Amino acid sequence: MSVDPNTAALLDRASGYDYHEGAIAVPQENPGDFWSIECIDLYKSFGSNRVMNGLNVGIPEGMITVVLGPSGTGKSVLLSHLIGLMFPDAGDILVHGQSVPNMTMPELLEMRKKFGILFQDGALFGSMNVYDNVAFPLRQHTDYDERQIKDIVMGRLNEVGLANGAETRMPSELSGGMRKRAGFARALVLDPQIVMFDEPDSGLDPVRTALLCQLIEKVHAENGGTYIVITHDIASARRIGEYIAVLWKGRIVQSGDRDDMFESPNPFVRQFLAGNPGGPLGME
Amino acid sequence: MGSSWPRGNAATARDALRQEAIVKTPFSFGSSSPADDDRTAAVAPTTDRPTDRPARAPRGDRPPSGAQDAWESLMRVLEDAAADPAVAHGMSRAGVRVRLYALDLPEEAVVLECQNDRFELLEDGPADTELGLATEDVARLAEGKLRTAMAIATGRATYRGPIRQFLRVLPVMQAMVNPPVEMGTNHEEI
Repeated sequence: MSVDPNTAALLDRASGYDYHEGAIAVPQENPGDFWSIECIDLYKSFGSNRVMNGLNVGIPEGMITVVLGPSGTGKSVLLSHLIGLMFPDAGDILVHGQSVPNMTMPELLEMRKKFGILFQDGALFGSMNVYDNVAFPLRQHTDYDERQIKDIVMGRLNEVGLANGAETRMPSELSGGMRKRAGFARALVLDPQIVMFDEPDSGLDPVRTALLCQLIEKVHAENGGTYIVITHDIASARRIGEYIAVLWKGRIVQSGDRDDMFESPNPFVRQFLAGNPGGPLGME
Repeated sequence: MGSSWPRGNAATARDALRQEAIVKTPFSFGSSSPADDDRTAAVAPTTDRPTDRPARAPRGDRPPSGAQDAWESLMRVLEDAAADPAVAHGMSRAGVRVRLYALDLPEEAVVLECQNDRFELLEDGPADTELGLATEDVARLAEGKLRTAMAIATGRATYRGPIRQFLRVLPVMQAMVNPPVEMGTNHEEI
C-alpha cells in the first residue's frame, strides 16, 4: 500500500477536508519540559521526493509513543533524524530541549548515548555471539571491567528471557524473535533514557509480535523512560501505545492519547486504524 | 521550554505557589471562619505567575467529591513505593526533589526525595520541581493509570522546574500498582 500525493491532494480538494487538520500536540504551540523530543516543521527531500513536508510532533516524556503510518511515508527517515543520522533540509529537532541539527559532532555523539535502538532485524554482529553483541556498547563506551560488564549483560539478557544459555549462541542460530530480544537487550545495556523500535513486529508472527509487545511494556515498566515504536501494525499500537502519532504524506495527520486516537473523526486516521480499504488512502 | 527557578529560591516559589492555590480554590474544607476568609482575601493574584502551565479554573465552593480519599490513596501508594527497594531504586534515578501537591486540596502536599539512591516522602522542604494534580489525576496516579505528560500537555496538571526527570521514572511506580500483563499469560489476546 502506498500513497499517491496527487490523488490525496485531489481528495483533499474534492472533499473540502484537510486531512492534516487534527494534529493536537504540536510542540511549538504547546512547549514544555514534558516533551522528550520535539520535531518542529521538518522538511526533507531526496531529489524530487519530499519525504517530510512540515512535520510537527512532540514525543511525551515517560510514555510509550507509537508512530504509525502506511509504508513509505517516512517513518524510518524520521527515526534517523531523531538520532542525527540524517539532518532536515529545514526545521528543528529538539532532544531534551537541545537542537540536534545544531550540535557539534562531540555533542551529537554524547546525545546519542541517551538512545537505545532496536533495528528491524536486530542488527546483530554476525561474527559475535549474543553475549558479545550485548556487551559491545559497554566495551566501546564505558570503562567497566569484564566482571561489571558480565553483571550488566546477564541482567539485561535475563530481562528479555535470553539468559538461559542463549548467550553463547551465534545470531544465525537464533529465531527471529530471539534476535529481536537480543537486539533489545543490547539497546538497553547503556541504560538509555529514550528507546526506539523500528518496526519491531516485522518478520514475526502475530503471537511472537504480541509477546514482544508485552516484553516492551514490561521493560518500560521496570525502567521508565521514553519509548518510541515505529510501526504500521495497528494491533501493536493498540496493545502498547499510550500516545499515538499518525504519519502520512510527510506530516503528522493527528497525534494524541491512544483512546482519543481510536475515536478520531479524521477520515484518514479512522481508515488507517480500522484497516479499512475505503477512504482517502488507496493503492498507487 | 519549561523554565526553572534558582534552587535557592525554591522555598519562596513554593510559598508563592501555595498562596496562588489558595486564591484559585476559595473553598475552606468545612470551615468558614473569618480567619480563613481573611487569609483568602489577603492574597492578591500575582501577575508573576509561579507556574509554567495555565491555571486550573476554580471548581466552585466545595472540594471535588473524593478529593481527600484520592490523595490518601496516593500517599499509601507512595509509601508502598518507598518501602519496595526495586521501585525506590527506580524512582531515585530521577535525581530530583519533587513537590507533589493536590490542586483541589491546597493544604495537601508532599516532597519526594528521588535522588542518591533514595526515594523518601518528606513533609516539607525545598524542591527542584513541582507537580500539581487535579483530583481525577491524583486518583489515576494512585491507580497507576495516569499519562502524566498528557495531563500537563492538556492543561489539567501544572508543573514548575525540571519535570522531565520525574516523568521519566514515574512509570516504575505506576507499574507497581498497575503491572503490565505477564509475558505469555494474556491468553485472551493471543
